[in-house]
Parts: sequence; C-alpha cells; structure tokens
Amino acid sequence: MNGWDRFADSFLNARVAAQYAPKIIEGLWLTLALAGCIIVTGVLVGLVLAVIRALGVRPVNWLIIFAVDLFRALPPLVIIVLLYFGLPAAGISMSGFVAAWLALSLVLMAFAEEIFWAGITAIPTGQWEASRSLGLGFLVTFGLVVLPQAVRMVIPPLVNRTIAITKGTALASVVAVPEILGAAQAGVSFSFNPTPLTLGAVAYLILFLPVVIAGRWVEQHYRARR
Amino acid sequence: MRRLLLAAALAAAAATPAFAQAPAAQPPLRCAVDGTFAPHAFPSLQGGVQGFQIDLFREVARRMGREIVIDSASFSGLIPAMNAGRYDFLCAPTTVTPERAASLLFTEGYLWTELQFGIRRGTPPIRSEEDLRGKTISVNKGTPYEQWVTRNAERLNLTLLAFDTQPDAVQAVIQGRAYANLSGNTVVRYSASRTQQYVADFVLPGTRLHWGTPFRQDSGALRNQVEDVLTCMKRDGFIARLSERWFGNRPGPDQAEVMEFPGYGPPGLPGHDATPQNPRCN
Repeated sequence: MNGWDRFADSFLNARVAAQYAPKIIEGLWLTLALAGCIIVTGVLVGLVLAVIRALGVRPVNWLIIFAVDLFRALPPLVIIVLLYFGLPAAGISMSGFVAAWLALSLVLMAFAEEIFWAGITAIPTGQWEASRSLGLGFLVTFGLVVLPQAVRMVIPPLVNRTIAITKGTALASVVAVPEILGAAQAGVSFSFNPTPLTLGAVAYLILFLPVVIAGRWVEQHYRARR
Repeated sequence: MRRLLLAAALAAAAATPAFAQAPAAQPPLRCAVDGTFAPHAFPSLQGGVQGFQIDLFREVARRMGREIVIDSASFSGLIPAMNAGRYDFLCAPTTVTPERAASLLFTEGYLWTELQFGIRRGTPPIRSEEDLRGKTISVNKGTPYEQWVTRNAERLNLTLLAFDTQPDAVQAVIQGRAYANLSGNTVVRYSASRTQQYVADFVLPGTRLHWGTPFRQDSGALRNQVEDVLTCMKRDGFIARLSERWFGNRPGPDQAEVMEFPGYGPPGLPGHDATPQNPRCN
C-alpha cells in the first residue's frame, strides 16, 4: 500500500461513498432550501432598509445604522447559538433551521444594506438635479432614476458577499440541522473514514458553482454602462 | 553572523540538559478526548480538561514511563484524526461495536457502558421502547447513541437531533425541543447530578458494551502494552478507586473496572488476540 493508495482509501473510498451518499444528498437539499431562504430575505430586507435610509429620517437612520453595525460586527455562529440556546430562556423557542435562517439573514441584510447604500450615495448629484428639473417628484426620481443605476453598480460586491455569507449554512450543523457538513461529519464518525467529507465538498461545489456562474452572468448582463 | 552564532550556542546550551536527563527518550504519547463529556473529560476551572479519562491515562503513561499529551476536540473528528496519524490512540471512552472493531484495534473494556435515556424532570418515566414512539431524541453527533436512534427511527418513528456536544443535547431536553436524550449511563447519571431539570431514566436492555481504547490497525504492539498496564491497574484497584471518585459508587465484582478478560482486546470481536496476557505489574 503506497502513499497514493492510502490517500485514495481515506478520501476516495467507493464503498463508504456509496453508503453515505444518500445522507449527503439529503443534506444538499436542506442546505439548498436554507441558502435560498437566506438569500431572498437578506437581500430584500437589506434593499428595503437602504431605501428607507435614503428618505433621510434621522432617528430611523440611527436605528438602521445601529442594527447594521451590530450584525456586521457579530460572528454568525454567535448569533445562531444565541438565538437557538439563548432565546428559549426568554420563552421564544425556534428550530435549528429557523435559528440559522434568521441569523444568517440578519448578517446578509446588514452587509446588503451597506452595499446598496454605497451605490445610492455614489450616484452623481447631477442625476438627481436633472430628474427633479424635469418635474419628477422625489419618489419617482429615486425609484426610476437613482435606484436602478445604484443596484446595477453594486451587483459584483453584492454577489460576492452573498456567496460568502450563504456558505455559513455549514454553521447550522452546530444546532442539529443535518445539512451538508452535519451529514458529512456524522458519516465520518460512523465509517471512521473521511470520504463523506470529500462528498460534502463535492456537494458544496454542485451547489455554489452555479451560483457563482449565475452571479457572473448577472454582472455581465446588467453591467453599468459608463 | 555573530548574533546568530550566539543564538545557536544558547540554544544548544538550553537543549543539552534535556538530552542529559533521558537518554534515548521516547516521544510523548499523543491522545485525544472529547472535552465536553463530563465526568469522563470536561473543562476545568484552571484551564485544560479534567475527568476520569484524564486521570486514567496520565497514570497509564506514568507506568509506561512516557510523557502524554492529551488534546481535546469534538468526538466526531477524533477517529479520522487518529487514522491520519495525529494521535497514537484515543483517551476518549470509545464504545466497542463490531463495526468499529473491524477497522480499529481496541484494548479490553475498562468500563461497561449501557445506553440510557435522560428526560426532563416531570416527564412520566419511560418504561419500554414503545413509550418512545413518535418522539424526538437528542444525541451527541457521531456516537453509537446517534446510530441507535438512526437504526430505530423507522421502527419507532423517531426524530433525531444530533448535537456537537453532550451538554447541548441535554439542553435540548431541558428546553423541551427533545423528549429524551440518549447517551452512556455514566454520562446521563452525571448530567442528572449537575442539572436539577434533567433526570436519568430508562436503561436500554441488552446494550452492555465494552468501553475501550481504540488504536490504528498497525499499532498492535502498543495496544498490547497499554492493555497490560490497564490489567495491572485493574488488579491493584486503581481503576476501581478512580471510578468511585468520578462516578460516585464502588464497582462490584461484575464490573469491567475489576474484571480481567482473556487475551488482548474485547473477546469475541475482530482484532481479539488470544495470546494469554502476562503483564509484569510492579
């Protein structure tokens, strides 16, 4: 048994792979559902907050900035554990799936809001002035002139951040959600062989490569024309 | 350059006494525990880990005349790490199952383990497996307890909640997320002594298994060496005293703390070596 054989037996063991593949595939569906929920909620709520912030109501903006800074500062794992193990003491009990979804959505919301806000503030004042001088109201100007340009501009950083945070679904294994990583780890300790982790890595590639490619397509398609 | 030479000279001077002390010293033994498995291994206030396993294997190493380094990590990662050569053996109490004995070498058990349920105080006691029908069971991930739930999930319509640590699994019962927690008897009883809200309950019949020390397949010599030392510790009552100290009751004659099993390894399982034991106890 040379080095390669030992490596292959450890990480590419067909017998173990066949045995635990169904578990990993179940985990893949779960991760897919969780990731979908996080992306939709996080990005949408982030956009809504950025729009509210653009209205410029001071006390509301302070609240938004506080929330955004809080969730950009806290590690996602800490938020998940606090929601799952901490809140029941206050009488609010949620499943591991909901805790992971809520925590990662809050983090993505904070980063997305900040990215959209950067886009909105980067639109030259001339665009505002030109639109208002044509007699368009504030809301119409914001909704039809400023926001579309802003969103287009920030697609690349937004896609990046979304992918980075969505990979945090692996943290849900800590609160007993049998997603890809959780299923892989259980497989490893039953079989005493790390092949399920290899399967897990493949599952993540299957899940995220299309997301990365789709992100690239969106960037190309909606590129801001300068 | 001069500074380099000086540093080299200092380093050499610092290193010499160590060489002088122990001629041809063997490298320290490396092992690992799951440090969240009270009372076997759990964090101590001074930092590091304490517990039955720590005291046991420090003594084993002392009798072998070796240093020992005990790492702490999540149980589900321990066996792969040992197979990768990171540890010589595991100090974690490892349940010997036929499946595991096929791919690892074990010493004979130094404790019996039985599968036992813990429930929230006020829940009616579990009298049979039937009482579990349709319920949610919390376990520590990657353990025989998780496997028991997985295997019986269809028959009893069980829902599994698998956590990285045993304390999290106990919390799940206390918070009402799970109806019961399944673990080893020593651990369930200890958790119950520490947590008002959690009581030790139903013991699964016919689940008495060896708790032994796992080695890689190629470590037969080291396995036999460690088993010899463990046998001596059974004879002079060291393990029994340790058991009384950590688990609170003195083991009877039918307990693995004092029983000697023929040959090396748990009898009747793969990896058992029928050579009669002949430990030289001092």
